[in-house]
Amino acid sequence: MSPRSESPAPRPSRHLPEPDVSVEAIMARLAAGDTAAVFTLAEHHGHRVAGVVRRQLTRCGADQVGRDDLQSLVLDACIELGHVAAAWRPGGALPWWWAEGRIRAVVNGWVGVHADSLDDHLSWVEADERPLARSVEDSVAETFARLVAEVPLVGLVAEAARAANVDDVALVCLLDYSIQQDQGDPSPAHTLAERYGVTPETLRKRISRGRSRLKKVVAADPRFAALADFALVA
Amino acid sequence: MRCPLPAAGALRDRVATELEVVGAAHADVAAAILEVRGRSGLDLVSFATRAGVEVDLLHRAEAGELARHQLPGALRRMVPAGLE
Repeated sequence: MSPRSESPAPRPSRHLPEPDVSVEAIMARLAAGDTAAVFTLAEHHGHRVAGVVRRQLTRCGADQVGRDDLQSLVLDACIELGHVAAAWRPGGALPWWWAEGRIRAVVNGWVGVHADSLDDHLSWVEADERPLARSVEDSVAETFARLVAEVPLVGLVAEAARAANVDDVALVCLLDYSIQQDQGDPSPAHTLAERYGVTPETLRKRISRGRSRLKKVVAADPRFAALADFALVA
Repeated sequence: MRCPLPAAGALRDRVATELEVVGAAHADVAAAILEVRGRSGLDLVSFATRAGVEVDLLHRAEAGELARHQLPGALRRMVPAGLE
């Protein structure tokens, strides 16, 4: 049956509240599965998303990107934000900073597609030996544990943490905090507090304590001299 | 410098593609309506009220269940002719 033959349509109303295009409202709509909110995000906050896209392009050395390509990347980033909206929490970093890693992946994918092909000198690599790109990121704890075994300098960080009586949870928390800061999160404590089941104030104290202990050990023990310039202990 | 706003139609095409992937029969029609509502900033109920259509009908149209010719005038005018 045609919808037009159903009961009379309601009369259009001009007396409605103004649309809420705040970041919180848009992200809530995206989290609820409202696809139209992707358009709202692009329309009202696209220029902010573009700032993060540009930053990632610069990191990739792709400074001269045309307007159309930039727009296209912003749209992809907005769709990506829609995919992760349910995990975003108000009160922390803005979505485009919070999901900067996702946006970076979008940009990296685009830069990769437009990069020159590999030369034939790599043709000896067997197809089944090619490394596969990871589709899911490990947690900070898993990544750190792997790097401790693979990278001597990271192993040294773990050793310094043991010497400073900074336990594994506190160290991972400290790393998480540094990552959030590096990604431009204006309030990492708020972002991470829920994840670690503490208040932002408690988390701040934990970070401060861990950093202070690490700093003392690194300054006092010549074995850890290589870590002196690390932002982690600065 | 303020970023140029996303090009009209570019995001609609992407959304239509995503809807097609999940099996929407009239993905282009749905994406066109979603674009108009999205740019308006209104939620489903408010937009339906403002357009004077049933919420359920709007929901079905946005899900890609309805062809352009099945839409009431208020919604049909949001869908460029030629899209089915």
